[in-house]
Amino acid sequence: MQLVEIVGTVLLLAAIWLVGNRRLDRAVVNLTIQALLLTLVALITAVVAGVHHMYGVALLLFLIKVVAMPMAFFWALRRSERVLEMQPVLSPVVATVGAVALVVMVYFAVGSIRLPVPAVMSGLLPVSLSVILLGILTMITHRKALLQVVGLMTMENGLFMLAMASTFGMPFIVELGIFFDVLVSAVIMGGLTHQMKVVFASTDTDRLNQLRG
Amino acid sequence: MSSQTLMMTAFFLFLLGSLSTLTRRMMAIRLGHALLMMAGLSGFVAALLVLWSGTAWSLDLWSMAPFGMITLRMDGLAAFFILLFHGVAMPVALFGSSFAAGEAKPLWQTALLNLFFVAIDLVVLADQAILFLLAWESMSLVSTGLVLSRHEESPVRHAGFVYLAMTHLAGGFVVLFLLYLTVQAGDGHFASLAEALQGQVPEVQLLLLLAALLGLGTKAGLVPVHIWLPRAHPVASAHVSAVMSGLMVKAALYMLIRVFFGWAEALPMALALLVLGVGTLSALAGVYYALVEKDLKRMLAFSTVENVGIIVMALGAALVAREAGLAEVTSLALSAALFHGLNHGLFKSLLFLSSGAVYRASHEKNMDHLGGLIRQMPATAAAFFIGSLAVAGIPLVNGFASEWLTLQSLFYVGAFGLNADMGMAIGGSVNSGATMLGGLSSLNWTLVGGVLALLAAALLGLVGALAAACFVKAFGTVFLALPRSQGAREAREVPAVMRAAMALLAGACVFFGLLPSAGLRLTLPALEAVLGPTASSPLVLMDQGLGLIFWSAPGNLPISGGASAGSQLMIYAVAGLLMVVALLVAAVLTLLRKRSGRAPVVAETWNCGLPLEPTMEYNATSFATPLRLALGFVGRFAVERDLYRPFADGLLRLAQRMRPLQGGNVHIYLSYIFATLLLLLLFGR
Repeated sequence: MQLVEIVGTVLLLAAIWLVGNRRLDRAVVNLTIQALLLTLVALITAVVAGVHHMYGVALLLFLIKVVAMPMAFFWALRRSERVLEMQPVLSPVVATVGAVALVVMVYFAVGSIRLPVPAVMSGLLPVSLSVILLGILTMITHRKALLQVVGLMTMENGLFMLAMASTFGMPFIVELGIFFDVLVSAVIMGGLTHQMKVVFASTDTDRLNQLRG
Repeated sequence: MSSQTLMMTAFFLFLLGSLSTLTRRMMAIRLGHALLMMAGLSGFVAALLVLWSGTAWSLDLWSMAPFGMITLRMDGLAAFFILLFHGVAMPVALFGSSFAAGEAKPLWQTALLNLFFVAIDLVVLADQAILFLLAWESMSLVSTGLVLSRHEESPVRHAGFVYLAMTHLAGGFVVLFLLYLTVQAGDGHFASLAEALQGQVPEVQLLLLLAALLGLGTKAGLVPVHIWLPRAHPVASAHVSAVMSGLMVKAALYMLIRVFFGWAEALPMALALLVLGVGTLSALAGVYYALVEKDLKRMLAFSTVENVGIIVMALGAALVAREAGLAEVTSLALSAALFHGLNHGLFKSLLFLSSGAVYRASHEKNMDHLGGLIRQMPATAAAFFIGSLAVAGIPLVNGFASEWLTLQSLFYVGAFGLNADMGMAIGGSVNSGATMLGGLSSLNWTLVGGVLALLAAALLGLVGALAAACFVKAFGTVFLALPRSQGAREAREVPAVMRAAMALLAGACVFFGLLPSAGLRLTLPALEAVLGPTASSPLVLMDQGLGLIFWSAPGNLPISGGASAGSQLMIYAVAGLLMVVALLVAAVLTLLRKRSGRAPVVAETWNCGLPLEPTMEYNATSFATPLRLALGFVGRFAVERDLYRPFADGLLRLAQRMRPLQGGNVHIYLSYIFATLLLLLLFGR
C-alpha cells in the first residue's frame, strides 16, 4: 500500500473515532490529529509530485490547523464549558457501528471509480468521501455547538484531501483562499457559539428549535 | 440588400433604440420610437423579400456544446409572422412617439418596447430549442416589465404577479416539451426535434403534444388558462397593450402551428377535436366576458381571448381535416387561421391605440363614464369604428374574410364527416389517427369530428353575433349620445401623429378587407413551410368554389368532384346580397310601420320631475344586461373561483401538511442533507 493511502486511512479511523467520541476536549485533540495527518498528505504530495508550493501549503496547514485552531478551541472550552462529558444523540457503540457502515457504503458506491491521477493518489477518493460524510454524521449525532464546528472542520479536511489527491495541489492563490475561508468560518462559528452561551447559558444546539414556518 | 442583412439591421436598430434611453433625456423617447419604426420597416421588408422569393434563409450564430449549432432561420411561416410584427411595430412606434411621453416611466417603456421586439423576433426566427426558450422567456420577462411600469398601484402589481405565475407555468410546459425532445434527438435543432417527435410512441407523443398545447395555449390566452390576459394586457400603456394583445399571443400561435402542423405528422383525432373544442370555448367565453365588461381596455383584452379562440378553431378544423385526409381543406383552414392572425393583429392594435387616444383625451377607462366623443374626436371615432367593424366580422373590412373562411372550413369538415359515415367516404384510409387510442378506436371519429365541427360552426356564428353586439355597445357608449362625465365633456382630439398612426392601421384593415386575396397570398409561403408538398394555394381553392358553401348534399363536395365554377368574387356577391336583403327587410318594416298610421309620437321623456342628466342615458352596462341575463349560466361558472381557487387552496393545504418536515431542529435539517447526499451517492453509482 502506498504511504499516502496509509496516512489517509489513519485519518479515516480518526474520523470514525470522532463520531463515537463522548468528550469535548478529545474532539479537539482528534481534530488536531486529523490536521496533522492532512499536513503529512500535503508533504507527501509535495515530495512525490515535486510541486514546490505544496511545502508552503503544508506549512500553512500546520500553523493554522495544528497550532492556531486547537489553541483557540481549547481557549473557548476553558471559557464556556465546565463539564467536558457530552450526552450524544446516539450511544457511542451505535454511532461507531453506524460510522463503519457508512464507510462500507461509500466504498460500495465509489470504490470502483479510479481518478485520472497517478496510482499514488487514486485510492484516496473513497477515503476522502467517507471523511466528508463522517463529518456530517458527527454534526448530526452531537448536540454541542463546538462539535458542529468540529464536524464541519472534518468535512473540510476530507474535501481538502480530495482536492490534493485529484489535482496535486491547486494554484497557491486558491489554497490561500481556502485557508482564509476556513479561518473566517471558524471565527464566525466561535462568535455564534459565544452568543449561544450568552443567550441560553448553554451551547446545546437542541435549544435552537425556533427556525420553522 | 438581402433579407438576412435587413433583419440583422432591424435587430441592431432595436438594440440602439433601447440603448438610446440610457441618456435619460426626454428626447430619447422620440429617438427610441424613431429607431423602433426604422427597425420595423427594415424587418418588414426582410419578411416581404422572403415571402416574395419563397426562399428561406438560415444563419448559424455559434455552437453551444450540448445543444448543437444555434441557428436563426426565416422560412415562410416565420416570415409571415415577422411581417405582422414589424408591420404593426411601425404605427405603434409612431403612436408611441407622441403618446409615451404622457405615460408612467416613458424611458423605461421605450427601452423595454424595443427589447420586446428583439425577443419576439427571436422567438419566431429561432431554429433551435435553446435559443427559442431563451427568447421565449425574455419575451415574458420584458413584457412583465412593461406591465409593471405602473407598479405603484396595487392592482397592477397583482396583474403582474398573476401574469408572471401563469407565464412561469406555461414556460415550464414548453421547456418540458422542447428539452425532452432535445434529449431524445441529441441536439436542439428544430428539424431534429421534429424527427424525434415523430419517432416517439403514440402515447408519449400525445403527452408531449398536450404539454405543448398547455404551455403555448397559456401564452396565447386560451380558456381556461387565459386568466392572466385580461388582467395584464389592459394595465399596460395603450401602445404596449396593442403590441401585447395584437402580437404577443401570435408568437404562441406561431409555435403552436409549427409544432402541430410542421412537426407532428399524424395525431389522434381526439387531440385535433380537443384543439377545436378549446378554440370554441375560448371564443365563446371571451366574447361573453367582453360583452359584460365595462372597462374599455379590459373589454378589448377579452376580445383578444375571443379572437385567439377563433384562430384556434380554424387550427382545429385544419387538424381534423388533415386526420380525415382532406389536404385541400387543411390548407384552407390553416390559411384562414394565419389570415385571421394577421387581421386580428391589425384591428386589435388599432382598437387599443384608439382606446389609448380616448383615455389620453378623457382620462376615463370606464365606458359608462364616456359618451359623445364623436363630436370632439371624429378621427379617433372613425378609427375605432373601422376597428369595430373588423372585429365584428362585417364585410369590406378585414375581419370578415378570415372568419368566413374559418366557417367554411368547419362546414367542409362537418359535411365530410357526415358523408363518410353514410358510406360515401372519399378516401380509403380515413381513420389513421383514430387507432392511436386503443380503447376509443371503436368510436367513429370521422363522424364525431364532423358533428362537432358543425356544432363549432354554429357556435362561431353565435360568437360573431355577440362580438357585433359587444362592439355596438362599445362604440355606442363611448362615441355616441351625450358625455357622461366631466372628462368626456372636456375631451379634445389627440395630436396628428397619433391620428396618423391610427389611420395607417385603419387603412391596412380596409386594404385587407377589400383585397383579402392579398392577405391569402401572403399565407401561401407559410402553408408551404409547414405542410410541405400537400399545401395548396387558398386562392386556387377558392376559385374552385371551396370558399363558398352553405350546405352541400352528400357526395357533392366541390373537392371530390374536381373544380366547380365559382370565384373569390362570389364571396362578395353573396355578402353584398345578404346586406341588400337585410336593408330591404329593414326598409319594408319601416314602410309597414309608417303605413299602419301609428306615427311615432314626439314628446319629452318622462323624468319623474327631475331634470334629465346624461348619466341617465342608456349605457354599456344597460346594453349588456339582457344578454347577461340570457347567458347567465355562462357567468355562473367563474373560472377563477371554480378552477383556480380550489387548486391554490389545495396547494396551500399540501404545504400545511408538509410543515412537520420543518421541525426546527438543526439536527433534523442536517439529517435531511445527509440522507440526500447518501441517496445521490447510491443512485449515482
